[in-house]
Amino acid sequence: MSNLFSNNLVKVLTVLKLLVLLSLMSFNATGQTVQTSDAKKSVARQKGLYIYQFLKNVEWPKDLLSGDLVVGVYGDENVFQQLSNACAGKFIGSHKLKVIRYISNTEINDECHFLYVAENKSSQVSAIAKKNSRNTLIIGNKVGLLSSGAIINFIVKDKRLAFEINKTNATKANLTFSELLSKLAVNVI
Amino acid sequence: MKIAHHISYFLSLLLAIPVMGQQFCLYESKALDAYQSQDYISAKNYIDSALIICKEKRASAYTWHVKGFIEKQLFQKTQYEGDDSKNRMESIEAFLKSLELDTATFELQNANRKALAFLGSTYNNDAARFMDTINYKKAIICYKKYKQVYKVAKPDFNFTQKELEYNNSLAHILFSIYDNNTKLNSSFLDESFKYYLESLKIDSMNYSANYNLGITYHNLGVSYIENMDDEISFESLISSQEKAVKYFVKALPYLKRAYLLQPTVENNLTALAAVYISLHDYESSSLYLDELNVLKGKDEINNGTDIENRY
Repeated sequence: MSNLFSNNLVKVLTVLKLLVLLSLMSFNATGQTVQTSDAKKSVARQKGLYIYQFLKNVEWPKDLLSGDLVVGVYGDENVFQQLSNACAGKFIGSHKLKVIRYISNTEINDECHFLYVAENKSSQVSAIAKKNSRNTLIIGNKVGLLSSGAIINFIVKDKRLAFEINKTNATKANLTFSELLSKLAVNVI
Repeated sequence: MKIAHHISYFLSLLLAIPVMGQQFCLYESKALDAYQSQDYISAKNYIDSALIICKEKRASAYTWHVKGFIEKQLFQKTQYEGDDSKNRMESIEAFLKSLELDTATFELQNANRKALAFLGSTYNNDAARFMDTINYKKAIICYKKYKQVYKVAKPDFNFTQKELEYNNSLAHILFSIYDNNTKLNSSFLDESFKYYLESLKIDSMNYSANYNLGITYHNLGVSYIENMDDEISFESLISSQEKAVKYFVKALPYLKRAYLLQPTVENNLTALAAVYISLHDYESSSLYLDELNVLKGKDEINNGTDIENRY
């Protein structure tokens, strides 16, 4: 009986082996994947690099800038991370770069020279600008924010990230833009 | 034992000399005996002798048919590691020769073609086995041989699906090589595109080629941005962005087609949402994320986040 069973088993295995041999194996074409988080980080990376360029291309009056050059990020973890990495251990002139993150607008105070306001906090730009008593340069993230208190504003042009500047407000705040910054801005008011 | 085996083989050769020049060839007969007793090594020696000594057998479809089966058995018995086996090649050549000579009765045609189909499929399986970043060249060789043999074995066989699988798989491997060292292996990127595009030439609505091309273009754009140096000049930052945008734009039609083909596959919706984020078109991205939300049974994506925090 057991012999019969083992014989049957051998037959089944042989048939299976034959089927495997005779069948055409498929090629595996497992490809890459993409996550929206990667795209978000990539956008944040661009913003971080832009902001780093802004830091290098805006001149501050001496009485408003002594010690660290402080950049505040309000409302975007990815931009904060990117900017922190880009600025880590770096100086603009003799000023060490310091990046801080604000979770709530009540935390925003006079300590920062630049303040990046995330798109989803855009409605608060006007209020933040009114409260601003230390000439903080607000970087906005939505069309129209130059008229609400932002001095630099991220916009999209030809599907790429671009920026516009409000030179009038910058002058009022005693800030000077480099020629390069003005040249590369897609819109200057 | 081995020596005795050889002695008996050579004795039989001597005994066979008188039948030279006749239709009956003792070597062939002995080859068949050896084959039936599963002594394939002796069978091979006899059949090769038959083809050398009994010259008329070189024109015999049957003798080549027998040789084909003997070599096939030896191929199946041998564990081979490389991309090729001499027995397999000889078996294929023998069956092809038999097919070529079998013009009068065609009685061997069916068995010859079946055996060729089997041997061809082993090349296909080797190609699939070798399809990796180290052995892909062997895979290419094996796949070519598979097609050559299989075309003869099954003249009406439709290779479309197989070609698509092969092209997409090879394209993926070539991209992996590029991705391992983008500077050193930059040429592999174009090679990878070439095979995906080959697939699309065969079938413009091939899901895998469309999806992978779209993803590849998008990821190239992302890599372009990720690899920018922190100290990049202002002008270079802008020109690099423009290059990345070109990749994102290229990704779109392929991913849209993939989505069209498989609208309920989550990866398609995620990929489209990602490309639109990269293109700063958050409205379009939201449409796909909302659809993904519905597909996932809601709440899963936005678990703990509100819509504003998507970006």
